[in-house]
Amino acid sequence: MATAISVRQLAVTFPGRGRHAAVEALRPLDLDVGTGRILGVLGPNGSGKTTLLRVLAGRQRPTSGQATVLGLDPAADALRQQVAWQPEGALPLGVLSAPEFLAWLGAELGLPNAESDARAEYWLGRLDLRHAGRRWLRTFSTGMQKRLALAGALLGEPKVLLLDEPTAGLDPFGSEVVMQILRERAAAGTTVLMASHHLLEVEEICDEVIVLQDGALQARGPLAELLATEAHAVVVRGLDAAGLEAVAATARARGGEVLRIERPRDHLFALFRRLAGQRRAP
Amino acid sequence: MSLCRWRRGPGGLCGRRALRTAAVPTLLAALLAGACFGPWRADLGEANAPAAASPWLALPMLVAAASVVVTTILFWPAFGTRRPGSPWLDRVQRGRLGGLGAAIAGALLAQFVVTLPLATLLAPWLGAPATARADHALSTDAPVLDASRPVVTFVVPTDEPLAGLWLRPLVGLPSGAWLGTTVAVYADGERLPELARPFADNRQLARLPLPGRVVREIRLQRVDGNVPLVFADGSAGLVGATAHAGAWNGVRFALLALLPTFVALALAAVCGLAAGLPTVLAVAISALFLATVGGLGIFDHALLSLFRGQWLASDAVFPRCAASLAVGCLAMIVTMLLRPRICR
Repeated sequence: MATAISVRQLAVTFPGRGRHAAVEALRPLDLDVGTGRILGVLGPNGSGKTTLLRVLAGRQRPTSGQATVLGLDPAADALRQQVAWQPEGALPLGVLSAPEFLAWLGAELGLPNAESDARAEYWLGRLDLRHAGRRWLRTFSTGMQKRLALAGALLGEPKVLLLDEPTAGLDPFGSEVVMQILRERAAAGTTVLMASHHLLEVEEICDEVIVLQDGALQARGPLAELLATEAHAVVVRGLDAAGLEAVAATARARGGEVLRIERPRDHLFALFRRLAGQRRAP
Repeated sequence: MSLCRWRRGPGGLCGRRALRTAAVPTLLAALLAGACFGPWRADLGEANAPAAASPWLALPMLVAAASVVVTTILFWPAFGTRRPGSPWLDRVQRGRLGGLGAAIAGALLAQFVVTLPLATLLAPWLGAPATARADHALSTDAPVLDASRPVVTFVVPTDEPLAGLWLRPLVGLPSGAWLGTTVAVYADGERLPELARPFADNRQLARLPLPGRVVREIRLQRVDGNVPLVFADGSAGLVGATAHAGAWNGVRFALLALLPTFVALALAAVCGLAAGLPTVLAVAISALFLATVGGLGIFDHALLSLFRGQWLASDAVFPRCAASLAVGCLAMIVTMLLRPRICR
C-alpha cells in the first residue's frame, strides 16, 4: 500500500509575545498514512489536531521536521485540487447560494464549468442541500454549512481529504450520510484524515487512530488493536434471572470470569430513526 | 482565463455583488440630485458657469463609489484579517493576492457600469456642454506684466489648431490710483481683437477667439493702466479647435472617477494584511473621501472639466492621475509582497 501522507519529526511552536509564553502546538511527530485509509485524529481541545491538519493543508509552516502529502510539500500548488481541506468555522462569501459557492470553488480548482456544475449538482443532492435553492449561505444552519463544506471539499475529487470536525452540528441522518460518503471515498482510494470529538463515529469508520495530548502523540494504531480486550460478550434473549445465572455458572465452571451481566439497550440512533422517521435516510 | 470562468471567480462575484448593491442607492441619489437641481436651473441661466451644477453630479457619483467600496470590502474575505471563511480562501484562491486583484477589477467594472449613465445622461441634463475641446495650459518663466515688464510671452505647447484663448491673471497692488490694465494680445505676431475690458480684479476671466489655426506663440503686451498682472500657472490657457462629443467626455469622466475607488480599495487591501474589518472600512472610506470631495487626485478636476467642456483626454489629465495611480499600484505591490502565503 502506497503512503499518501508522511510526517517526520514534525513540530510546530507558536512563538510567545510579551507576557504570553511560546506554545508547543505539536511536538516531534512521526506518522505514515496509507492510500485509501481513514485515520481518526483524536485528542482534547488544544491537543494539536487542527494544527496537524493545517500543516498537511499547507496553511501552517512547521517549526521543524517535515511533512509530505502525495510525495510533495503540502504547500505545493500542484496539490490544490488533489488535497481538500475542510476547516472549522463559517464558510466564506455568505451572500452566495450553495450552487454559486460550489461554482466559485470549481472555477478556482480549475474544473471546466460543465463538469463543475455536474459535480456540484450531484453532491448537493447527495448531501440533501438541493432544497436550499438560492438561499444565502449565511442563512444556513450549522449542519447545512457543514454539509456544504464537505460538498466543497469533495468537488475536486481529491486524493486526500483533511476534515476538521466533519460531523459537528449535523443531525444523526446527516452524520450517517457523511460517514457513508467517507467510506465510499476511502474505498475508491481517497485517504481521509478526520479530526473529531465524536468517538463513536471515529470508531465506526476509521481504520486507525492517533491520540494527541498537548501536541504529543499518546497512542497510535489500528482500532482493532487498540480496542481489543480479552473479554467476550454472549448476548442471549428469553432467559429469566435464574437462566442467566445458570449461563454464568457454566462459564465459571469452564474457568472463565464473568465480569458483568447487563441488559443491553437499543442504539440511540435506532430510537431516533423510529421517532424522527426516515425523512432523510441515506 | 475565459470570460465564463472569470464570471465565477472573485472578479465576477464581486462585480455582480457591487452592481446589485450600488445600483439602487445611486439611482436614488441621482433622482435626489435632479430634484434638488430643478429649482436651481432657472436661477443659473444660460450665462452662468455650468460648473456650478457639478455638486449635483458629484453626489450620485460618490454614492456609487462608496457603495462599491463598502460592498467589495464586506464581500471579499481577503480584505481584513480573521474574516469568516478566510481559511477557505487562503487554501483555494490562486495567486499571491488572494483574489484581491480580481475583486477590485470586478468592483471597478461594476462602478463603471453604474456611473456611465450618470456621466453621459445626467451630466448633460445638469448643464455639461454637448461638445468638449482640449484645454492647453500656458506657462512662462516671466509671468509678471507691469510698467517695467510690459510683455509676457507664452510658447504654445501644442500643434493642434486653436479656437480660443482665456486669461485669468492674478493682480498686484498698483503704485498709484487703481487703473485697470489693458492688454493687447498677439498670436504669432498678429494682433487679436481687443479684450472687452481692462483687467482690474483678481482672477478676472477674459476670452478671445483664435482663428482656428495652429499658433506657435502668444504674446501679451501692456497698453494702458497700472495694475500689475501675474500670469502664474493656471492663469492662461488655449482652447483646441477640434470639437469632441460630450458623451465621450462623459465616458472618460466615468473612467477617471474609478481612480479614487481603486486607491481606496488598494489601500484597504494593504491595510487588511494586519487589520480587521472595521479598520479596513475606515481607511477605505477616508481615502475615498479624500480623493473625491477632499480634492486630492483627479476627481475634482475631471468633474469641473466635464462641466466646463474641457476634453478629458488632453495632456494635462495624465499627470493629475499619476499620483493616484502610483499610490494604488504601490499598495497593490506591497500587498502582493507581504500577503503571507502561510498564516495563522
